[in-house]
Amino acid sequence: MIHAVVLSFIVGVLAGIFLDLQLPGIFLDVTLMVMLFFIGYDLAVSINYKRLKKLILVSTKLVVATVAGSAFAGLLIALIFQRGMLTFLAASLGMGWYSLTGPLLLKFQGSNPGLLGFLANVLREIFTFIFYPLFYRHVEIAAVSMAGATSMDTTLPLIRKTSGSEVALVAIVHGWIISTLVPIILMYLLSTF
Amino acid sequence: MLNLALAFAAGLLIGLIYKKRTKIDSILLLTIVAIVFYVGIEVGRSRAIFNVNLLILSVILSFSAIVFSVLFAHILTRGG
Repeated sequence: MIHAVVLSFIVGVLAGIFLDLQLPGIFLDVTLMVMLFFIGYDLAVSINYKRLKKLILVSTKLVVATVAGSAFAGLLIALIFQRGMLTFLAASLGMGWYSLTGPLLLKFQGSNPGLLGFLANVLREIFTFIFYPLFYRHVEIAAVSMAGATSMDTTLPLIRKTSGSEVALVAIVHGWIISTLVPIILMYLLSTF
Repeated sequence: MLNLALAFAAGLLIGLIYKKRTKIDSILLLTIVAIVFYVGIEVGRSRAIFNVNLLILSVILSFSAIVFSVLFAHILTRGG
């Protein structure tokens, strides 16, 4: 699977650079809808409802870890490289949502922070595609945290394929809460400090 | 966001009604490839990969965020 993922990314980058190819937004929307439909279907026929409460509790713990880990990394890297703390904190707290973090940082802090916000979060998604199976083998469900906000959409098929339906449900709840938190946290950070 | 929630809810509902297991792995792989291709196009069009300094900082930042998030999650979820 990893070969297909890497190859499609490289082909996509080359098509973007040399052909300046632009797919309509509906392409991503439809793909995500198809994927979520089938994951919903799969979940309904395979979930053990007695374990649902426990899975939601685990999702909440993962949300706390994802926010805390992302914030800690942003502050640490800003300190090590002597860069703007707010920029790195905000870029890191985008938690994979590059289409929101990039434009918000661009608006509030300028082009380079905007680019950092975009790149750092695209890379979080790409690293999740590459490393999730490896992390899952070692830390099991904790690996969902690496996906951040993308655990409910773009990286969900990978999580489901690697870890099964129960972890997919945890990933959906985790991604949904993170996706709700990201705009609130970023708007608060960038407009207050 | 609403479209995605509706698609997921429709899948859940139909799954609850039919309760018939199907293999979805090939569909998932196809959607992963399509999504990654889309992200690749966005990265290519932004020319972001040509800014080497920012690229290196972004790699370090995103990988650190991943490592610390997973580390904290592992500590919190250990032992159920």
